[in-house]
Amino acid sequence: MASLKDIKRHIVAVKQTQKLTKAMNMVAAAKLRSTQNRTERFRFYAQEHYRLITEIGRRATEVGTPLLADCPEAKKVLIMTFTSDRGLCGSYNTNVISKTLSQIRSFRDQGLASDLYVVGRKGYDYFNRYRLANIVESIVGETGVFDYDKAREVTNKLIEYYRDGQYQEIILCYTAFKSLTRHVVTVERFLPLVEDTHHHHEMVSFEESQNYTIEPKPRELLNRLIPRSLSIMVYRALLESVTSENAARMQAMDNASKSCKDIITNLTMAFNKARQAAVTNELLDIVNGAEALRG
Amino acid sequence: MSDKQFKLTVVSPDKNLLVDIPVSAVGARGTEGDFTAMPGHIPFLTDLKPGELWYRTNEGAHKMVSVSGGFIEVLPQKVTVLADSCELPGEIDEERANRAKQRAEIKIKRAHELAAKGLLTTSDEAELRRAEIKLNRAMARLKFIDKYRSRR
Repeated sequence: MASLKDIKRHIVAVKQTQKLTKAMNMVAAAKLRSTQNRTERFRFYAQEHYRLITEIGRRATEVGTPLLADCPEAKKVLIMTFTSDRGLCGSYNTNVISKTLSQIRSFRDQGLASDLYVVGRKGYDYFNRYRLANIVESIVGETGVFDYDKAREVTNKLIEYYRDGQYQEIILCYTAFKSLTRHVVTVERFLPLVEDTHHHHEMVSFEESQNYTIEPKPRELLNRLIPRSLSIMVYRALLESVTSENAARMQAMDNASKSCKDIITNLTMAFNKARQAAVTNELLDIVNGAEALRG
Repeated sequence: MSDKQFKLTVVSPDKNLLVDIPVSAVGARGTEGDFTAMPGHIPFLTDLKPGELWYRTNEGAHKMVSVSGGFIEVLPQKVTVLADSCELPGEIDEERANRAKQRAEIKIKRAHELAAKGLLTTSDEAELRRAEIKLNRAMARLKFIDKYRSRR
């Protein structure tokens, strides 16, 4: 049985850990509040934008910008996956990574190789260590300062890759924030932007299509609208991921604090029992000694 | 509800300024000129210049919103504005706009000096273009404040 001193030391250590997890919980909660607001506002904007671009894209197939078309000759896909830079956030990273892996597998079954564009140190470390896929690019240690400009930069790079015709498809793999306790790993198609339906449906020309008038020239406008839509997708995926990360960390730290509390309760109980046992033993000694003296 | 009204939505990346507000007319400045959209307008899409966007509420009140670029989609029942940023008249920070204007002017002046000496690099050129856009935005905001004041 552990000595009184050992138990005492153990209790102090666990209390320290508890302080830490509680503090981290609060930090995560504060971060969550600010990112959650931003995400929810941005989500609305992104949705409106997405609605517009798919609407126009479907009708504007004849305009033929390369970003709306797909390149079936390419034998590779690019997966952009969003993980966190720091750990201690429960199963957050594991979930994204396993989803990414299942994507890689399903593409392999279709005879397509996958390249990775990894955001976040955790994902980078994982994929780098196990060499599961070729990492073409990574952003490490910047999820905290990732802003819209950065998203635009990344998007431009992705667009370049796509224009080069290396990739048949580019997809995003990120964690969508549904509620404090529900984060869903989501796979979203990034490029080509619009479902390739125009080969099957009859071509609808601009003039027929509900008379959508576009000023200035449709092509010019689309050329501006499309990159913007794509940056919005990247930025949104990032915001959702960061929000989920903070929520996951908050939960993980909450659980950790609870476990600390349980352990402390158990240890205190053991401590009290051990102390009582010691006292009883001493009493017994004294009583026995007295009895012996009395003879 | 009469059919003489439609819904207006104005959103920017960090703000949902107006969501499905019933209005009877919307006016804006597109790249091809000013226009006014009334309910039942043909579907129409254009990009916006920095400046003011106005709308008339059902009660007939004339309201204004400042936008700095973006896109506007007009449908018979609905107008959606996807702005880069948008503000209500009370929200504009005049001092900030002034500062932005000055900064942009200095940059543009410097770029022109460089250009005169033939030393303008491509990155300088890109910066000049950005500064011009910023100047445009700041000017649009300031003009908007002026206009709003005189109207009141």
